[in-house]
Amino acid sequence: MKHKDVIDEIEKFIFFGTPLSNDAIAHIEQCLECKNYYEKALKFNEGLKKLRDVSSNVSSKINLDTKKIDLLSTKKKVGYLSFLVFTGKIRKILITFSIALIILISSFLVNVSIQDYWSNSADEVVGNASMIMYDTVYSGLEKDEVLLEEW
Amino acid sequence: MDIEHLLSDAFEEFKSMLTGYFVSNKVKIHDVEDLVNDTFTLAWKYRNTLKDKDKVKSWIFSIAKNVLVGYKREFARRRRKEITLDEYNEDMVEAPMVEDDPYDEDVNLVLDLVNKLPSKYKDVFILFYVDQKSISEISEILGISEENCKVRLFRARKRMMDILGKENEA
Repeated sequence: MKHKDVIDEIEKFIFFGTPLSNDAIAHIEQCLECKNYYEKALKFNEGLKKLRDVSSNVSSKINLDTKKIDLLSTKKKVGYLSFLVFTGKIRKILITFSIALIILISSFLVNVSIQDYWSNSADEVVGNASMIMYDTVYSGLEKDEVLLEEW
Repeated sequence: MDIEHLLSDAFEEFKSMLTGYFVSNKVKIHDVEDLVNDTFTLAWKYRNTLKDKDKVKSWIFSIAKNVLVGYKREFARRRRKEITLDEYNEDMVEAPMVEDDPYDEDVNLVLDLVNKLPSKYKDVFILFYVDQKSISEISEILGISEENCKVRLFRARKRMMDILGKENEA
C-alpha cells in the first residue's frame, strides 16, 4: 500500500470514523513515519472527544444570569428606569435640569447679595446724615435753621 | 413568536453551542459562564435591532464573536500590564489564555491545532466537530450557503492535517 493512501485512511479515520483497512494497519506497523502520524491522529481523536465532554460538562453547569436580564426587562419598571438613568436619555435630561437649577440658584443668590449690599450702604448714609443733624442741633444753631436745613 | 420569547427559548439551545465555541477558543473555564451570559445579556439589550427573526442564530453567534474579541483584548491588556516593558514580547499576547490549565495533553493538542486555523475555518470546525452541528445548521448560524460551509470544512480538515503532518515531521 502506498504511503499517501495510508495517510488518507488515517484522515478518514479521524474525521469520519472510518476503520483502517488491514493493509493500512500492516503498513503502519512497518513505517515509522506513518506510525508516528497515526499515534498523533489517535491523540487528536481522543482529545476531540475529551473536548466535547469538557464542553458539555461546563455547559450543564451554566445558568442564565437573570439579574442582568431582569434589569433590562420591561416588567421590572423600576430596574428599567434606573438603568435608563445611567444609560439613556433621562441622564441627559437630568444633567440639563440640574445645570438650569444651578444657574437659577446662583443668579438668585447674586441678586440677594447685591440687594443686601445696597440696602446696607443706604442705612449707612442715613445714619451719617442723622449724626450730622444731631451734631448741628447741639452745636448752638437755631432750631429753625436746622429745620430749614432739613427741608 | 416575539423576540423576548424567542430569546428565552433559545438560551438552552444556544448555551451548549456557545460553551463549545468559547472553550475551543481557549477561554478560561471559569470565564466561560460569564461570556455566555454576557452574550445573552447583549442579545436581550439589543433585541430590537434584530430585523429578521429567522436569523436569530446567526445574530447571537456574531454577538458571541464580538464578546470573545472583547475578552481577548481585555486579557491581552491585563497581560501587558502584568509584564514590564523590557520583558514585553508580541508573542506573549497571542499566548494561550488557559493559565490554570485544566486539560490533559490530548485536549491541548486539539486546542493548539484548532487555534492555528484561520477564523473562518476555525468557526466551521468547532461547530461541526465540537458542537456537533449539521452542515445546514452551521450554514444558518454563520449566514453562509451550505456549499460554502462544506468547502470551508474541507479546507479546515486539510489544513489541520497539514499542521499535524508538519508537526510529525518536526
